[in-house]
Amino acid sequence: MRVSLEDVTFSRGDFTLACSGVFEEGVHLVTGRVGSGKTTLALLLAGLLKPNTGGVRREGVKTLTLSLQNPEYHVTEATVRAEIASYRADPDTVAGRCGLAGRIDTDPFHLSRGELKRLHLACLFASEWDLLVLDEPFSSLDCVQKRRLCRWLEERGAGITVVFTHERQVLPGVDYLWEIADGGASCLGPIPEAIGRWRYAPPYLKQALEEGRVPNNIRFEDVREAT
Amino acid sequence: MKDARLRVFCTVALSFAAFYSVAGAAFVYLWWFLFSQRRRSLPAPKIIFLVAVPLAVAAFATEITSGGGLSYFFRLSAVFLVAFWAYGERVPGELLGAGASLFGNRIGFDLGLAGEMGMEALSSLEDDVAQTRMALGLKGKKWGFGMIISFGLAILHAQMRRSAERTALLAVRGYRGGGLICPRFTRTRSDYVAVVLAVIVVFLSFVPLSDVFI
Repeated sequence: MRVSLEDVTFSRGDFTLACSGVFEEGVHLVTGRVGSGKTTLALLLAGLLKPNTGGVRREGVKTLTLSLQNPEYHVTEATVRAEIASYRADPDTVAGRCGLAGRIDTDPFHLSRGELKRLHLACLFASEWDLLVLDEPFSSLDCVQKRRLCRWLEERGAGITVVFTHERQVLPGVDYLWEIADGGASCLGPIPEAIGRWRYAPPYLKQALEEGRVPNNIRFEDVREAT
Repeated sequence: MKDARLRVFCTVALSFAAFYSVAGAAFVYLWWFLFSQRRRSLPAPKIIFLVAVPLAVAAFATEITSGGGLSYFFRLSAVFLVAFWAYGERVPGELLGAGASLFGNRIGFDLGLAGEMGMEALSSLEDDVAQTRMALGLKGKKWGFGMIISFGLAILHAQMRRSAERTALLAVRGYRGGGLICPRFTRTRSDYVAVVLAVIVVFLSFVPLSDVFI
């Protein structure tokens, strides 16, 4: 199972994004500044945008989904119960999993942004996806919910998971690092080799590297354990 | 046309002229042909379609009920053409400068800010519609009549949330009304010609053509 970007370019107005590379099975973390093209690449991977040149080839990917940055775009039903059911997931299980069991008959738009985000993510994680693309999944979540999301990401057994984020504090264990800068996306390589090349590394990771400690992964716990 | 003040003036004057009379609308088409970037001043075909269909339906209904539908369609199309030109030429932040420059740093700033926020909402609406349609597709739901309510609600909530965030940001920055801005505007000779011709178009829209071209 893999997704290959073959000399892909996408332009809109003055903005152009160019990318070549392969997303193998595992968790990929893609970072870059605001406006660098993270969402564009996410949409290209999910097949929701067509590249101007090149192509996106998905091999062995039978099911795919994308989580958009704003959870309200995904809402189609009038209650939390119906909303969960619209993802073909079990409402009671999912509501319990994301801590909204007591609000199952509430209008999703009456939830806070953070609650709506974690409801949407819980719905996605209730199904098996060959390709799961998450655009800024940590936005609107508090630290507890960010850690919960990290656990869900790490527990995902198989498939390709691509996480686009500018989160700098709570990060999951990942398999590959990518960066988007200067109109291009590039794979920095597998973890842990790629950590030293990561320009957007969070401060705790940069400090560890400066002290000569090389962690096995990018989580805060990994840095703490690194010697 | 880089000077937002001149563009606002031309937009208001030409819209008024186009709506007032068929002759005015005809001159507005001519003005648009001379001073717009033509195809590049038009939005995506989908948006033109979305604007043209309700306009055509309203014109058709007017024509068969009380008459004047064709004139209505001709005049309103000219108004939309001017609106497309003005929207296509805009640069984020310039309305704020234009407002403050025209009406001062108190009322002008507030008017410019309101205009700027309205323009940004319009701009983000396009993105909201595209992303909501994508989200529907991801859930396997087909776009159709049955999805209109949830689709509208999703867009409405996205817009309201964005407005709330902007309001909070303004409050955090201590906004209580008015503000100081020192904009700079650049103009070319053709901008002045466009303004003068817009004024002439307004004049001609009022005066019966037989009085002018004897």
